[in-house]
Amino acid sequence: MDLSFLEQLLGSTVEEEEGYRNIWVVAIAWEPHLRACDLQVVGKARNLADSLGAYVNVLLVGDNASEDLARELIAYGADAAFWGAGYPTGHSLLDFFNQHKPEILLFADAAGGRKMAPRLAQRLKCALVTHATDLSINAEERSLVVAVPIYHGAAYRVVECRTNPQIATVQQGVFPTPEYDSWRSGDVEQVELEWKPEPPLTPVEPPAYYIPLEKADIIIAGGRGLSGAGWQLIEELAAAVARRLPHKAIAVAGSRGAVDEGWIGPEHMVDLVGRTVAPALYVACGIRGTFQHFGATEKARCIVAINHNPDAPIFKHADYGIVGEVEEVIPALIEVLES
Amino acid sequence: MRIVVCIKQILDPETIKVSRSQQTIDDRGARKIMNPPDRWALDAALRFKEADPSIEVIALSLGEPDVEDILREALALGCDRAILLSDAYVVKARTAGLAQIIATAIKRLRNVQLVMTGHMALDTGSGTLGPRLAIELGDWPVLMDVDQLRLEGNYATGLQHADEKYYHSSYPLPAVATVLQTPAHPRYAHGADIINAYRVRNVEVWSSLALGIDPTALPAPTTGRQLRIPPARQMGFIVEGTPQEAAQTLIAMLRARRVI
Amino acid sequence: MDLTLPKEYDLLRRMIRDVMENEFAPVAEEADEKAEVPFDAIKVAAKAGLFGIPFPQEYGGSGAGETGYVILMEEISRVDSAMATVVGAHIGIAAMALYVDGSHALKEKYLTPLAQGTKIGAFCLTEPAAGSDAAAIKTRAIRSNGNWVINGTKIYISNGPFADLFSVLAVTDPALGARGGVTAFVVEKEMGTKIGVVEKKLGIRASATSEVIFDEVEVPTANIIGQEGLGFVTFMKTLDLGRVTVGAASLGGAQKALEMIIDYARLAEKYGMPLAHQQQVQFMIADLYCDIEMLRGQVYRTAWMVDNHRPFAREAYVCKLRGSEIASKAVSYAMEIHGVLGLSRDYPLERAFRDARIAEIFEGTNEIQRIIIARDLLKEVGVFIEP
Repeated sequence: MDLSFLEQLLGSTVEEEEGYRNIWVVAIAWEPHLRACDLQVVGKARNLADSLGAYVNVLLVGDNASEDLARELIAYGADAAFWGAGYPTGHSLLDFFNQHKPEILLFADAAGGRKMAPRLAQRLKCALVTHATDLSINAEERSLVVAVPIYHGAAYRVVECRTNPQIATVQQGVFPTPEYDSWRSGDVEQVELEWKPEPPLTPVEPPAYYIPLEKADIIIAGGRGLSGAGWQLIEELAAAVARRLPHKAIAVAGSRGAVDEGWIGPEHMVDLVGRTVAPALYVACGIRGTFQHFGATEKARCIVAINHNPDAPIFKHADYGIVGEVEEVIPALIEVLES
Repeated sequence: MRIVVCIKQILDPETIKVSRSQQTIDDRGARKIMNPPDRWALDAALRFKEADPSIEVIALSLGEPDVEDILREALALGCDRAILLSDAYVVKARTAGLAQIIATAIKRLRNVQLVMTGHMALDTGSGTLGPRLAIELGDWPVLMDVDQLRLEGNYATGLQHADEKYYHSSYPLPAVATVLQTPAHPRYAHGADIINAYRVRNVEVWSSLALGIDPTALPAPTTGRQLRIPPARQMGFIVEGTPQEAAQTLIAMLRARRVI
Repeated sequence: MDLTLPKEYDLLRRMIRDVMENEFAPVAEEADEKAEVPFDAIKVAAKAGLFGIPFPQEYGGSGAGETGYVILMEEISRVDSAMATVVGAHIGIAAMALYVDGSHALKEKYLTPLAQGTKIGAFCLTEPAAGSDAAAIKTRAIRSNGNWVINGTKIYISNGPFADLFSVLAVTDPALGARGGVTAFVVEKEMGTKIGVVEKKLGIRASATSEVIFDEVEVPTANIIGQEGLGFVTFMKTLDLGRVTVGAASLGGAQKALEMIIDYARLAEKYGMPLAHQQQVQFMIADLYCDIEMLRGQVYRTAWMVDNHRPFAREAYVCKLRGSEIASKAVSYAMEIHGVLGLSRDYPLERAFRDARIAEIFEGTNEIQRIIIARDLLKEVGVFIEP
């Protein structure tokens, strides 16, 4: 079997195809307002478009899409906004983009986009990168360069798209929300796509699981630097974080000192003689930071330390430290979280 | 009823090292394992089988011959069949082509009502195989990032996780489900099943010829890839200012770093 | 010569490690503190087949042979030596006696539930006056109405308090003594065995050790393991097989101690530098590593010899003798390096220290091992030492 043309196909770059231009964003209005994640994508698209010399067009769909929301999108940075109230069928979306030929097509990595993007990409057999944490343009090739975290963030895969359209879904909160500029103008057009009945999404209570300390995402830990009454603050901080991030597993723990003082049970002790933890974020409040404590927390991906003693050894092992009274810093943190 | 679970072999994240000088991942001494989210999907499928023994669970994977190990593990856990798609051409397939090949294999199996996979592959950070398969199989519905997947008559129901919330969804079979990890630990394979998985059971190996695929007609890979290693963690940074200022700055930095 | 183990053993090892870390590690400390056997975890382990790893699948086991059994003991000991004692007594001697010489019918009846873990076994040899000199046992089995009636007391029986089946050695003809006068029986708890004193131990506290009293216990003739009068042969064969796995258990324990030492040396600081910079610590680490590597080679090679039907008795003695000593040394070094932390009841090291000592004592004391090895070698050159 002659495979030379197969090798050519696998090894070649694809030339820029005729007619693919402009950056498109697909936004979804599940509720009668625009989602922050969609606006962040529009803002970044604006950025990318300026460096490419292209326009930013937005397609707004969803049951609550409206002309008003479309106009808002113009103010947030779009040059043109197309809208239609409803959830488009795969085929009509395919036809729409075959007609408009976007060079780059962006979705927010959120409800709707997560499913829509891969399905569209499969129909188009084009480039798709998901969960992006960074977007940039390779000016020579006019291609989108996307960074995606792999292996729990230990490294990033940097992907350069080779076919048009180049589709990417962007993680929430990566890019800043753009400014609302009421002076911006642009075209707003209603479109008629084929709509399909999508059952309304009603959120339910997240299932309750017992999260062992070793599997928590975020741990708030307290040490002897608190006083007995001060232990309350640890619980309050954990509650505030849990409210802010309801889908993450938050747990409370204590250093050996806190357990010896009786403020928390020994099953919550983080120490070489207790439990070893590896959360995404470990907040050590009023903990001095002996090597036994460090040995149990060194696998945490990010450590924050709060202690009134600037010479406390814990600051050497923490990514971020705040020197101050725990009784003042924790309430300040809670205030920022709630705002 | 037939359930197909698509599993992937990846390098164990605990055994790889990151080389800052060479901006690459050092995989010498790295162990190959089944992608943990796919292990959860397998577990969920086997639980359906436990509840209804007439359900047939088939594990499917694609890659080099040593991917056979994860399929043997799937057999040890209780799958009825294990199929490896492997030859010189299919192992080079990526994304769209990959979905096409796997879908062809699933269609060949006939009467498959549910296709399950983990919500993400840890080594690529992407979770698009489920929706892509759904298109190739004939525009099937997808339960994405689903928790508590259940089979109720001719429907697949579950809690889809999106935007930090859970939504109850129900789609008619046949459907695709990408399964979310849950904190409890999965089942253990029985010692006898482990021994038998290697000494008695078979892993079927299908090539592109057997699938009737023309490898030249597969879509070409659409992206080029490189690795970027983030800089080493800097410890000992002190956030200055009054408690209020420090708190603001700290939260902003944590947000920028995508920790919260 | 390919020395890599076939891949099924890797998967087996990983499964056992998962079970140990998920089910036993969290409860090991409490079980030791309260001297209670963790039955819930044992049930999960039994369901995964851990109580019958080496035995043929025909009798409810996994069919992994001695190699699989060695892997099992190594992985269990990494986490909990007390569990190694429970499983070792159950598989390695109680069920093993049935496996080596039991008839097919006897194996079907008793080995299967033991391998499946639905019944727990205990091995009854030692008596108050018969420890190292096992030939001096006094427990008597007398013919009666076509059955046998057993009377006697066995002591220091692992799993005694909760075992369902007992492999017992009793004297059937005092005149013939050890050669031809001793028979092995399998006795069910329901036949009337009684539990006497339960030992309060220094180490392996989460395993249960007690007296087992036979007071007019009637046992059918069908329950004889092997041949009447040849019970000693059966039990000696069984103990030979058990010896390899004491070595494997020591390997797991020593490996764990070395890991603890390296971890501690990395974290603790003396004179502003990690302890690892002290030469004496480096020497300890290097010496232990050498010992462990050699033990590993010996244990797995001996297991291979067992599985491939080669004579293995001498190699097994080496496994037990050196293995138990290496494990004790490893734990001892670990205590030295950890300092006061090693004494802390909250840290697993002091439990490992207490657990390690027994390996030099049970399954034939190390003194006996030395005598037997020497005797065996000297026999070849014509020097016969009286037992």
